[in-house]
Amino acid sequence: MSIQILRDLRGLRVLVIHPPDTEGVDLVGHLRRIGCQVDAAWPIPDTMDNADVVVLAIDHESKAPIQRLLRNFVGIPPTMIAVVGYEDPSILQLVLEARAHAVIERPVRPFGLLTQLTVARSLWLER
Amino acid sequence: MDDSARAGRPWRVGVLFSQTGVTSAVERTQLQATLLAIDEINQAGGVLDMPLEPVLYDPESNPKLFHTLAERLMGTDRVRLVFGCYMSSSRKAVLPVIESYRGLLFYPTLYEGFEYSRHCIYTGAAPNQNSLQLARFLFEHYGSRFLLVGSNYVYPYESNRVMSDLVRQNRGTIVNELYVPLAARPADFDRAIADIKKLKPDVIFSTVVGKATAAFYQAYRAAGFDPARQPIASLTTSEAEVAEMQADAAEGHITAAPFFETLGTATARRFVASYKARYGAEAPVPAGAEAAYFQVHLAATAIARAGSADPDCILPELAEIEFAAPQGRVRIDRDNNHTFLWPRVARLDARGQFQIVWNPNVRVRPDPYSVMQSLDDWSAEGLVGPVPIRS
Repeated sequence: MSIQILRDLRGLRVLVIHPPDTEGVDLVGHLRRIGCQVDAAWPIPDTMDNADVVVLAIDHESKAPIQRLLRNFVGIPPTMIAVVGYEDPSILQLVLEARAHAVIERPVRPFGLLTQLTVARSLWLER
Repeated sequence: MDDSARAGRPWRVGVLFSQTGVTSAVERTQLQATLLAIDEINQAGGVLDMPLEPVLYDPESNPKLFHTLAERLMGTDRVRLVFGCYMSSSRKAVLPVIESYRGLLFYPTLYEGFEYSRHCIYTGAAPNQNSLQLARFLFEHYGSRFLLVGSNYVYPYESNRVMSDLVRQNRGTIVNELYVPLAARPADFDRAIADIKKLKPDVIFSTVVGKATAAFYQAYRAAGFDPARQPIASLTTSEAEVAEMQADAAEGHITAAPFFETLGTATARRFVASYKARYGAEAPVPAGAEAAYFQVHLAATAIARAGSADPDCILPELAEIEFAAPQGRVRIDRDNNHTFLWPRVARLDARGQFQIVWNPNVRVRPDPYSVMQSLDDWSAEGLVGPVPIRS
């Protein structure tokens, strides 16, 4: 792995699409700690322009707005990281539809986030 | 624990520093400094009229035993706050236990960064608070051809990566990078000594830790190298490791840390005098001991303010406290649970005492996730830009 990817993580524009609960606040806090520029959005917005990386909470209730968000997108898609609390087939289908480069499982905790972000960014660069 | 205190019982806190094993020399100083602070607090009336009561175990420099004893402290002894750990491997072994019991670990040791746990307060230096300053000093005074020698575990690898990065920024060269076992014996350094002879680096950057440190410095001395021109530079060679060396092995070598026994400010002198009054005039007082000492005072102040030792209650208080530590005023950064510290560089003299050769007198904000340290903008609080090196 090139250390350059790690350097580039600092200053990345990350859009966190996640309810503003404890886990959402922790997620934003830890991404800032890593050095990313973080914006948070909730409810699920219609667009995700201007983000290098999108961290997207995927659950059953938000299936329709997630699909709308993905459908609306044109251009080069951002690096996509899914946050999941279940791994049943319908969640997995959404993870695949979102073309996620990495997955964070609940409960969200700081350890592992930097690794997921790095791997996701690396895969995105390859694609 | 807050309940038992309200019932008129002491505040029990866990203490996990090794009294035996490879890193026991420095961990023993951390243990003693912890107990010194606890005694000071108790002699001044305790915390909210209740004394602090340490529950101590010896984890023998063994991460597995650290894990087991953390489990005993949290599960059986019902302690929520733990002071302890030196090597990163021991911190990594203890933290999952602390997290599962929603406790709080106070970790008084420099380390390689790239960690945050809500359940850990880091009071030693992150790389932006020691590596950067050490590198600048070395480039200015000795050159930028480096040979790296380290113990074989996580801290040396990451610390060497940071140093290599800084050397390359300065258009320098890493002539070689070698690792020895944690419990290295003198013969394990033969290869390093041969390489230093052959490759003639300007600086040997050592991330050797524990008892092997003395063996390395003595082998270096025996090989006849001149530390005045070609020093060993380190972040982990402290007063505790120097105390284990033969008398003539230490002179001329360089260490960066936020505290040295010889610092000489009124607060530092008071701390060193109390420590030596209790543990002997010859007892070394390294930066790890200073951090172990001030973190107990920080914790006690936070408990007093919160009226509870529940980590959820004291965490917000910790971020509000400014404490006059022996190194200078310190504070916990609420964003990353690391500590604002005062970087310094010192050279060992003929008596094996650290003489401070660069003391910029600025407090530096911790930046544990800094991937690339930049030589040109190591930044103190509110102060960004090059700082002149004075010696």
